[in-house]
Amino acid sequence: MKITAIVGSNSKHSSNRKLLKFMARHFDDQDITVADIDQIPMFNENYPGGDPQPVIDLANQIKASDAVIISCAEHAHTVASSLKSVIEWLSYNLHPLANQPVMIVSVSSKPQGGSRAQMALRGILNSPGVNAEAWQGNEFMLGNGNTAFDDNGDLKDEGTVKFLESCFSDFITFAGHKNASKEEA
Amino acid sequence: MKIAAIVGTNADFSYNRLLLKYMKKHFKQLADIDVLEIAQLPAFDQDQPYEEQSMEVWKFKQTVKNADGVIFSCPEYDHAIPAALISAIEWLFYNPKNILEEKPTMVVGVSYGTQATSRAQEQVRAILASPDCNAAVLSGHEVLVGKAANNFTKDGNITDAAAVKNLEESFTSFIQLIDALESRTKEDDLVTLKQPFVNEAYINFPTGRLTFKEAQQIFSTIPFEIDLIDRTDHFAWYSDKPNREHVRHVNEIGETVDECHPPKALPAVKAIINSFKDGSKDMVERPLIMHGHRTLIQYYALRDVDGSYLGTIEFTGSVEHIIGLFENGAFADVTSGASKHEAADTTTAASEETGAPVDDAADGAADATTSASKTEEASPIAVPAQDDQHFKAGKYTVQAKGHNGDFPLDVTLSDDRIEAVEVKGDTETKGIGDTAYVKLPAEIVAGQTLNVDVVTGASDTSHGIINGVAEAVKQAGGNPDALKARAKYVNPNADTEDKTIETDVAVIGGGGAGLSAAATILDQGKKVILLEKTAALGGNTVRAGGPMNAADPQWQNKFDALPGEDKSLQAFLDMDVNDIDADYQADFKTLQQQITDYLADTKKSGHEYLFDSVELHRIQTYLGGVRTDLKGNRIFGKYPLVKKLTDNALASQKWLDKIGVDFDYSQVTMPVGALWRRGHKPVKEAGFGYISALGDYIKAHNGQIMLESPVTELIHENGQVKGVIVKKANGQTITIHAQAVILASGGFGANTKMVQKYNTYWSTIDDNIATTNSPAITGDGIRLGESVNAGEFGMGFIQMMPVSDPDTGELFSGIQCPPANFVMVNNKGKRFVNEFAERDVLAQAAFDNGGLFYLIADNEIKKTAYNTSKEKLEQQVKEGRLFKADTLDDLAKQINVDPDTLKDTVTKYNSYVDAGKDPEFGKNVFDLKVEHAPFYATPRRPAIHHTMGGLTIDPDAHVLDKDGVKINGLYAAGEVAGGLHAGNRLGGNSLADIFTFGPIAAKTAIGELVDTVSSASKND
Repeated sequence: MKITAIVGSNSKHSSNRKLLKFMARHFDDQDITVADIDQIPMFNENYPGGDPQPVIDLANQIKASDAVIISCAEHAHTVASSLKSVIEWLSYNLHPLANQPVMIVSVSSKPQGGSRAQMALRGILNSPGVNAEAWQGNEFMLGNGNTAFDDNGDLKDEGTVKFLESCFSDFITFAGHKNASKEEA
Repeated sequence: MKIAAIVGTNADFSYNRLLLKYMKKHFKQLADIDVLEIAQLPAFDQDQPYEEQSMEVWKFKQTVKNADGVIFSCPEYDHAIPAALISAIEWLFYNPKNILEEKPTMVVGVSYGTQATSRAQEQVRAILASPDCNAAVLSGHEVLVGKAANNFTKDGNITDAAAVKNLEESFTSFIQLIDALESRTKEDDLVTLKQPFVNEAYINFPTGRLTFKEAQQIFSTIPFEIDLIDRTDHFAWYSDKPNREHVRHVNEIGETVDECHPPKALPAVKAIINSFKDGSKDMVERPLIMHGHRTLIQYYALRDVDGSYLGTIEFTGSVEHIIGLFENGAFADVTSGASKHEAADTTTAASEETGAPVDDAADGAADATTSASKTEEASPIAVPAQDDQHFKAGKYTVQAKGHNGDFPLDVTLSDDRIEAVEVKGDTETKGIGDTAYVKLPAEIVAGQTLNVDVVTGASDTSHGIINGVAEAVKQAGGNPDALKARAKYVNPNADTEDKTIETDVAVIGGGGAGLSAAATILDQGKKVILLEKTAALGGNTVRAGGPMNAADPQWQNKFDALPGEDKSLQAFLDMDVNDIDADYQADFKTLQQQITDYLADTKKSGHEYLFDSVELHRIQTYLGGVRTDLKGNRIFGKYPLVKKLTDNALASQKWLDKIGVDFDYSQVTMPVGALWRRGHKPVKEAGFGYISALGDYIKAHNGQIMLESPVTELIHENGQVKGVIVKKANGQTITIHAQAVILASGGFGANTKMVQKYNTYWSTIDDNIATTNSPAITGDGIRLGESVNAGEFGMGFIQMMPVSDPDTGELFSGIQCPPANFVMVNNKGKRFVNEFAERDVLAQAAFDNGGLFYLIADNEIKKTAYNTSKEKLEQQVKEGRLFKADTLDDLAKQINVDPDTLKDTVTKYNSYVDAGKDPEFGKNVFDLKVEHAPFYATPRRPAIHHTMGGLTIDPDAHVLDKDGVKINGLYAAGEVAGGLHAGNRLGGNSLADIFTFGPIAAKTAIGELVDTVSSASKND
């Protein structure tokens, strides 16, 4: 399955990027591409010249994928503005997320692991303008992200890896169904 | 109460912005709401170091920080808060600290649909309540305005009464929340926490005690402001001085050094603090110009008695007053007073510190030993009375007669001496009469004589002071004639020995051209001596009305067009390009295209704004300068000079702004004869605004200015100008060796004989014709040029200022308003000319009508007058120099014309204003009518204003000889040069000329300094 994994922060040191890179490596039976968003400018409905090229590129990449993973950072109980900006672009002229299966994961440096950002993001993805198929099942939230990875970028805790595997496997099943019904329709 | 209201989107159009603007208007009694945009903020980036945070972010944070409360108006995108607003909030709570902490906040929102952003608002509240922000969010009340397109009117009002009522209730609760949070004082907190606090107490110092109140008020009273950064690098305190240079806010207290400075200023501040901490420095100072005045900032290391670091204090204040005292000789008086009691050797030492004028101080610096030995010879004790005079001691206040009317004078007499002379008020023109205010009283008192030299250029004021003191002496029973017969005052400290000085460039003339040249030379790191023959800087510039022409369409476009301006532009389209001289044809075609585009644009948008372009300025300067004299010689402006002027005028104006000339950008003015509204006007009184700023700049950069130093000849050796010779009134000769000499000495308008000699334009020039010029403008530079075979251009063309005071030649007496408001009537009470015409047309028409004429004005036109005041106008009415009446009948009687004729003239004029068209004389730009009493008549007569001709120069300001070859080392700028304005100069172009060609002359001269020394031929 072709999967686009969006890093939900424009920070160079984001542990959300680490998590997605780990997933791309770990789940090598799937074709996971990690997409950064730091090239995407702040959404503005009066942006001169229409949608910027990085937005178009990302939209095409998502369209060509079977599923999407978003790993979101949490700022002040909500998603980072850089991620929200990307979703606003992707629900303005282009709508690549419509009916696309999306898995939400999150990492935060605090123990909570970004639970509120996940809730906010789920609401955003389910809004009529975005209309994504945000998976409602397992919630993978990784707390204390600064110490969760080893020097190779692998998750240290075996239990965590096991849980991630089970979440991911459920999502692949869900995405498989969704894609099947897409093709039928 | 100050409230920051944040527009929660970066979209160009937003109902949420309209809602906040509505609240700003609706609640203006309750609070001062500042609507803040977020579109200018960069996207939040947590990796960005604080030092690199943009100024926009810093400004946004400062505004929010200093607000008592914050409103967020939030649209909803994808069921959530817009990314741009999240980003703005991220900036607010992130690095260096969360400024929303405990900040009262309120959330509102508008949407197109019925839901009214309810979900986005929920999120904003959640975000604000999160530990990251920890704001005090107004709970309960919800402002949800749905169906925006129906509920907002075109002009931004809300039609739904229930929505307005809800908004009012919610906002009132928000204000109560702010009040409740604010009224909790520190003391309340301490009492709740069972901590004692001090209410009234003394601080005991080893040297006495102060109450807290006294300590606070001492800091608020002293003319310097103090800021304290404590030992832990937190901004701890600032003195509550009124009108601070640095505006601080209590919300900044307790911030770290990092937080309270703009990121880009931080490294410098930290370097200072570190040098105090490590003990390498105890004081750092920075003299600079702030808010248009000279300001000294001193940072001191605050140390405990044992030397340990307690913090840094920043000590800031304007030093204009102190410098003024020094320049006016205040400290000189103190030292001579002291010397009466002290031993002789201290006198000598003290007199070296005498507040000498700039020129003498500079001389003293050149040769300290000589000046010391001279001061030993000089008697420090005041000159004893030379004859027996006995006065009834006391203070006498008399009215002295000056150039602009009477001014009061305080004279203090003891039994046998004049102890003090003090001029009250400031009716005299800034920069002209006020030199006499200082110099004469000082000399009268020091010399105990009324035999003192009058100040050149301010002779009326000087005589006023001398006669005023004489009157006081008479009232006190003394003999003023005996005082006038006493020996002439000679400054005992004056340096009279001949000497020789070296410099890089000598500039002749202390008007605008010379000062801007000197300032530019200093900018380039070279030495300059500026030579001014009178006792004061200013020349003719100080008499200028102030507006300087420079096309700045971006600025001018903001103003509405006046009726008739489109017709003036249309006239250019109607002109045939073949009637234009060949040099200008290409620019003329460009201009026609610009006008066509402009007219199309105003037609399309329906908004008629003021047009301008560099090409319009150029073509108007050219067309304005085309003249033919009585002998049939036709001249027009030399294209390279006119191009140079119009291409550079705006840059010159911006340079002036940069070095400290404060311009009033709220209005675009048009001086008489300017033909277009492109005048930049300084805030300070007329031309004085330029002179004071430039003079200050030169002094601040250690330029040397020598006053009362007329140049009598150029040093010209081997085809090269190598300096000048100055002969002072006291017989002293100063030889100045310079590598370049810039002539900036003005024209010859005050030299009637010379005007008569060259004139080929007017049929006759009367011997008693007045002039608007300073009496010092006598053609010195022309004569110096002639001595080295310089060429001349257009010498026969003399410009008259048609609207001058009949007696003094002064421009700014009576009601001198923009020409759109001129109503000129002759001695029969009839109009006789298109008042909007060029100066020579006006002057010729005036001569044809007997010379004397009147400007008729009403109470509204009076308000548009330049450079005057209610007091000045009343004084002039009293002196009979301005006529005022409640009816036109009465006004007509006062100026001796037939009342019906005058009324008929005014009625017709008013109808032309309404029609925008004048069938009689073709005036085509109008503003106000004459209709509101009281009415005024200002008597006017043409006076010599500008001598058009002058030395031949090229666009780089080289002076050319009669064969058109550069004269090495000689440059000229301003009225001394010819060819730019040709036969007639547009109003407002002289300032543009001097401030453009002054700096050009300086730059050219500096660029050639080396060449001219090593190889004169390189100049060719």
